[in-house]
Amino acid sequence: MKPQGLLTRIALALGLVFLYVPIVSMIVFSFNNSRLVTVWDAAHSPTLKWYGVLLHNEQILTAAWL
Amino acid sequence: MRLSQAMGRRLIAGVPTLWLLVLFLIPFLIVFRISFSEVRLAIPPYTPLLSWHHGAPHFEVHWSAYSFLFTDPMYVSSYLYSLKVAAVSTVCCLLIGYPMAYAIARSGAATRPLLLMLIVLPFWTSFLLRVYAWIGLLKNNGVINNVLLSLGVIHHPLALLQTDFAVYIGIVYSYLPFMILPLYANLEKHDPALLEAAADLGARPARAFAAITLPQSIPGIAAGSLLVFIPAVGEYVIPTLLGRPDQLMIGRVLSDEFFENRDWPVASAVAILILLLLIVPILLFQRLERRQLEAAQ
Amino acid sequence: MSPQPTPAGTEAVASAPDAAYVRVSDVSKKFGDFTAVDHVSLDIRRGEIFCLLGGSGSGKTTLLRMLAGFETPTTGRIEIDGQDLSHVPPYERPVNMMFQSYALFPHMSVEKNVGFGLEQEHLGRDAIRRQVGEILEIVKMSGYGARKPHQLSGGQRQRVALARALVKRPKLLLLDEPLAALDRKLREHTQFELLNIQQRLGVTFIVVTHDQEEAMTLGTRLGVMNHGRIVQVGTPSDIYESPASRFVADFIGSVNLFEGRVVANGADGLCITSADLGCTVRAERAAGSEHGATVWTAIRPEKIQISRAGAGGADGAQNENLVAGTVKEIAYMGDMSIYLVRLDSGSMLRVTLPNVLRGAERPIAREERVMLSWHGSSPVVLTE
Repeated sequence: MKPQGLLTRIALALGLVFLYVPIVSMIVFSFNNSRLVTVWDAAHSPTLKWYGVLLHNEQILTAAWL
Repeated sequence: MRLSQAMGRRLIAGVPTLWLLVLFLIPFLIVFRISFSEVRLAIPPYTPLLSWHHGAPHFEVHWSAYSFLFTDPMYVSSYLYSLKVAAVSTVCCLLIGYPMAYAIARSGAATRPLLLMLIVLPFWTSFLLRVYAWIGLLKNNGVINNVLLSLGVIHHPLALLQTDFAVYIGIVYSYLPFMILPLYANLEKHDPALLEAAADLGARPARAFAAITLPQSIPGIAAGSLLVFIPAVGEYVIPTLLGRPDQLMIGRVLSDEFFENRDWPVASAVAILILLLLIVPILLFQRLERRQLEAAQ
Repeated sequence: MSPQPTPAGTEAVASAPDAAYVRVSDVSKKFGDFTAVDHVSLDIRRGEIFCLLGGSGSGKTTLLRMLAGFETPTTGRIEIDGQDLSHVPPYERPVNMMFQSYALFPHMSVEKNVGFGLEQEHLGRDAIRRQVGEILEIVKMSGYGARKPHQLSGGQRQRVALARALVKRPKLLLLDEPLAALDRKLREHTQFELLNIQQRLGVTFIVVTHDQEEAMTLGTRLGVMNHGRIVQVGTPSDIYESPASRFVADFIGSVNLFEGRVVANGADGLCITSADLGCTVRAERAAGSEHGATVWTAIRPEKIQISRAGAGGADGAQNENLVAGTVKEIAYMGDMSIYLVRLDSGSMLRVTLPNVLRGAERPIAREERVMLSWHGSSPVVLTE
């Protein structure tokens, strides 16, 4: 592969990482047991606890349906 | 009675024009009109333009809102700060987005749609959530600081949030696809034979890029830059969530004037001045679009 | 021998006049499993116009691209003026190319386009302007310097592309289907102009084309390619009059091909019986073939004479190079007529005759019985 082709491909890969790190980190931390979003509670995670809370939250559910 | 072709054409063009008129021009005129009033405790909370005194019409045009904006240093600095942030973000978007668009344009026909989808996909998630995600990454006990601390690279958390840096990241992050897509649309049309011809005539790859690819991509660069710069000037959410509390961008200023100070005239004047500031870039953008349309024919 | 190529335009390494200026040595190019160029060896002399002729997929374009430097040979060597340039990138070769699509830089004027190659050599602005002016004059495009490519016609663009490729006075100029995009009249005119310019500048040309007329007009020598191999190399006359195989005979011009068996092999040529043809062919200038061997006879349409059957009476014993048939189709082309004759054996023979007499009294008509004959030197005997 020509050198300039390789450089731009690396740039593309890094750029895609930049675009997806926040999204992926959100997904990862949705399984975090701790209330402190970004502090990984290794002892009790991963957990579906928050998904359970979501399904019982009236406000969010009605908002989603609308 | 059958509609003639000309009438039918006018009808079809007329519907969106009417839509623009009602939802765009009229609100603009309302804001324009309010900017020439003074605030007062009433409903509506601004002085009327036309009133009747003893049976004679009386026009009240106040320039106080505008003069206030020009004399109070906070407003001037907010405008300049907004322009600066938008400009820096645009340049960063360009520097990051150009190689990405180039790589996509040169990739195989099979992977290209996939890559384009990957660029656009983040748009399908909530904008607000993505900005909150950045808070989670940038805050003092956020992911970035935790990783750096645990690796021993730093010993005290870096203050990444509530800085200019965070705003730049937020704007570049949100507007990057707006830069990549027009750039890609332009780069994709380039004739690869031209680069071969340049090489054949003695140009090394870097020189061929500078002499052949770059000049031809200028319309794409201009389009992408304007698509980032114009909305970035008026950004509200990103600087509010990620930015400095001591230096506001003009979008926040406008919102504060309207909702907190309930000073509709000043808020309107702020809005009109934003528009004036952006007239030059907007006209440039329109001229660019028109030229590209002509070139395509 | 130093691997550094000399800059274009400077004096070349002294080479003997007959020595190969461009030498392609056993070059092959594979793309995965597909062999585009299959062990090709060629010697091209300085100052000649060499045409690579072949259909699509014959490998001619790939070979051209390897000469230009856009592809590297999988095996083999390419030498130009004594230097091995097989793996040298295109921007370091004293070779320039005229692209089929012209590939003019759309955002640059004609002058900048033509001067681009000179700018890469870091010449002064005055020198560039002078040389650009000279070459534009040679291609008859003086005065068009400020125009942009989209303001030019197809023929004008081609001349600019030619100027751009010649301005550096390269050792070798490659032309990719130079006349393909032009209409008929312009094509003829351009053919002669190209010849003129080549004579004037003395640059070695290698032309790639699928159009045999183009190749025959332009080329001092032709190389016919098929499936990645060179099938025959020679002057246009060699290739037309003495094709080496049925493929070449059929590819260039029209030809009548008949299968037959050798029955006599003597000093005065070969005697071949052919059921398809329905007569005996005596080929005077044919190499010895084994008695009984199966061969093909090729006779060009213009070498056959038509006469009315019955006129002058049959020559009796001589059933050689003579056959009877019925005219089925006549195509009047103005300068000549093409006759399709159905032989008694059932095969079709194609004959072309120039229309020598204006308003001939009783021209040969459809369904007429005719006798077809040809001189003994006309048939070409092919073994493959």
